Amino acid sequence: MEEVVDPRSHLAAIVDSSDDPIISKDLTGRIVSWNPAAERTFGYKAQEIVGSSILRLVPPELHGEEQNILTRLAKGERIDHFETVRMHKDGTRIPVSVTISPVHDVSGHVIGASKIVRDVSERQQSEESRFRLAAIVESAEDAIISKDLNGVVRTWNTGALRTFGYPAEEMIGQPILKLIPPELQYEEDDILGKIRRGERIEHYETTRVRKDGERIQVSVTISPIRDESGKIIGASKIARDISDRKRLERLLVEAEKLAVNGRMAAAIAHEINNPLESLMNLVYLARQNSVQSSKAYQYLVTAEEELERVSHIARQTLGYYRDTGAPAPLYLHELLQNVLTVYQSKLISSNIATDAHFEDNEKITIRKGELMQVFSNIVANAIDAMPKGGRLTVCTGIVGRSQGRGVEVAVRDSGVGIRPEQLERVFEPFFTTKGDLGTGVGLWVARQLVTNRGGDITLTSSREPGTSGTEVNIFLPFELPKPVVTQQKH
Amino acid sequence: MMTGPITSFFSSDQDFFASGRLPQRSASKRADGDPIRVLVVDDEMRIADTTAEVLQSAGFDARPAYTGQSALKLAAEFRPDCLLSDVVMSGMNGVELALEFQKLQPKARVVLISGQAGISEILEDAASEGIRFEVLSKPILPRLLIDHLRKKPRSKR
Repeated sequence: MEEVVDPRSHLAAIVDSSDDPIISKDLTGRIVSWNPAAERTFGYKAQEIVGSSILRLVPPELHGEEQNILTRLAKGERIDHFETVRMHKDGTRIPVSVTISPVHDVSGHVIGASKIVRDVSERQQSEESRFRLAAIVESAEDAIISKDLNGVVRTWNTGALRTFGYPAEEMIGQPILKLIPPELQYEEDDILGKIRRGERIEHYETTRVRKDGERIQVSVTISPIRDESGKIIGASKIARDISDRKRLERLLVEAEKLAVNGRMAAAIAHEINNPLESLMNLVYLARQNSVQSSKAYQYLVTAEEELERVSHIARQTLGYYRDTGAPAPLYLHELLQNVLTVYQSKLISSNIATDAHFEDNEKITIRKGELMQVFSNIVANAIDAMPKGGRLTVCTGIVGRSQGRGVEVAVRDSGVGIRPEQLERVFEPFFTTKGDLGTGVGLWVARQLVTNRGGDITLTSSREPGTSGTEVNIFLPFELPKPVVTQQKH
Repeated sequence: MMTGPITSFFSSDQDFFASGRLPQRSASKRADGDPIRVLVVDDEMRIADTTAEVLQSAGFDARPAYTGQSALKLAAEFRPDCLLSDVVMSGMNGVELALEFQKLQPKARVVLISGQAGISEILEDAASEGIRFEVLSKPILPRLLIDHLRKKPRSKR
C-alpha cells in the first residue's frame, strides 16, 4: 500500500534543494522563511535573519523600492523578473533578478510574499563583457566580419565598412565572395574547409575587392566560431588593409634597386665612356691619316658608324641622357621621322611595316635630345614586341585638352600585348617585360621627361588574338610648364 | 634621378645621329686669322692627347693637359681661346678648374665634357653662383666636337 505523503513536505524539499534563494516575508517586510540557497547567496544563516526586516538585504538607497513592492503585494499583484541589487552580509552588492508572489491564507487574504531571487552577477558579467566586446569590435580599425559555414556574412563592423566600402546593410546576408576577386574565389572553399575542421588561419595575405572595384592587399586572420556545445557554426574574420605597407615594401625594394643600379650605371658609364672617347678619336685620326680611296678608309668609316651606335646606347642606358639645352621650337614629326630613320634597318630586318600619319603642322618648343630619347625608347619597345614582324603605326595630331592645346603622338605596335597586371608597372624603374634584354629604365625615364615638359604618357594594351598590340600615347602641350624657381645666391 | 631646374646650357647641335654635315675648315680660325687655341684637359692622357690631335687635324691649335693644376700653369703661357675640360677628374675637378681659369681669362670660352648624369649638381651649384658653362655629354663624336667648337658660343644669359 502506498504511503500518503503530505504535499507540503514535497514543497519544503523543493525549496530546500533549490539553487535560487527562496525567501518569504510578511506584509510588514519581516522575513518568515529562509532556504539554504539564500544562506549561500546572502551569507546569513536562517537563525540570524528570520524575524528581521527584509531591508537588511536592501541597499539603503533602494529602501523606497521595498515600500513600493509591499504596496503592490498588498493588492495581490505578482512581480515578475524584477532586476535590482541586494546586499550580502559582508556588504557586497549582488545584482539579482527577483520574482515576488503574494502568499494567501486559506481564506484568500494576502498575508505575505514569497521571493525567488536569482544571482545574476555571472550573467551580467558575461553581458557586460559582451557589450564591451561589441564596443571593441565596433571601434576596431580592422575589418571584423563573421560568416556562417555557407560563407554568408552575419556581422559587419565599421572597420569593415572603411576597409571594403560596403555598409553593414549591404553585406549582412550576402555571400562573402562579393569581396573576393574572381580569380581568387577558390580561396574561399579552402578557407571554409579549414574552418570546418576547426583550424585557424593566421595572417594570410591576399587580395580583396572594395565596393568601388579597387583591389586592396589584406592580411586576414580567420577563426572558427563555436556554439555553446562546441559545434563550429561559422567563422570570424579579421582583415587588415596592408595595401600601404605593400606599396611601401615595393618602393623600398625599388629604391634599393635604384641605388644599386644607379651606382653600377655610374661606374660602368665611366669605365665605358672613357675608352669609347679615346677609341672614337683614334678611329677618326686613323681615317684622317689614310688615303681616301683606300679600303682602310672605308673600313674606318664603317667603324665610326658602329662606334656612333655604341655611344648612343651608352648615353641612353648608362647615366641617362639629359639635354640641358634651352627648348627650341620644332615639328615633332621631323623628330619622329629622325627616330624612324635610325631604326629603319632594324624595322626592315624584323619584317615590320611602318605607317606614319603626321598632322602636327605646328611647331612645339621642346628639348630635342630628351624627346629623341623618349621616342627612341618607345619605338625600340615596339620593335621588341614584334619579333615575328608586324605593323608599326605612328600618328601625330593637334588636340585640345584640359591642359590646353598640344601635340598628341600615338605609337602602336601589333605585338602580343602586355598582361594587365604588368601594364600598371611598366613605368616603374627597373621593371621590364623583356627579361634579361631589358634594363627597365626606358619608359620610366620617358615618363619623367614627358611629365617634366608638362605632358603625359599613357599606355594601353590588348592581348586579344587578332587585334593584340600596345599603344603608347603622348600628349605635349604647346605651352611650356612654369619653370621651377631656383634659389639665387649672390 | 635627374630632375629639377636646368641651369646650364647645352649646344643642341650635338645630335645622337649622323647629320651628314661636312666639316668647315675655315671656321677654325680666330678673327685675326690665327687658329683658335684650345686647351684640352682630361686626366686620362689618352683622351686628352687624341682629342688635341683631332682638333689639331681640324685646324685648331690644341694642347693637352692632364690635371687641373698643370692646365692652369699651361694656360698662363698658352693663353687659350677655349678651355675644353672633362668634369670628373681626380684632384681639381673640371668645374673648379673652369672657375679658376675664368679668373685668369674672363673672355675665354669654357666647354665641359661629362660622362655622368651626376655632375649636373656641380653645374647647378656653379649656376647658382651666376656661372654657366657649356656642357657636352661624353662620349662625343670627334666630328660633332669640331662642329661645336667652330660655332660661336651662344650668348650667356
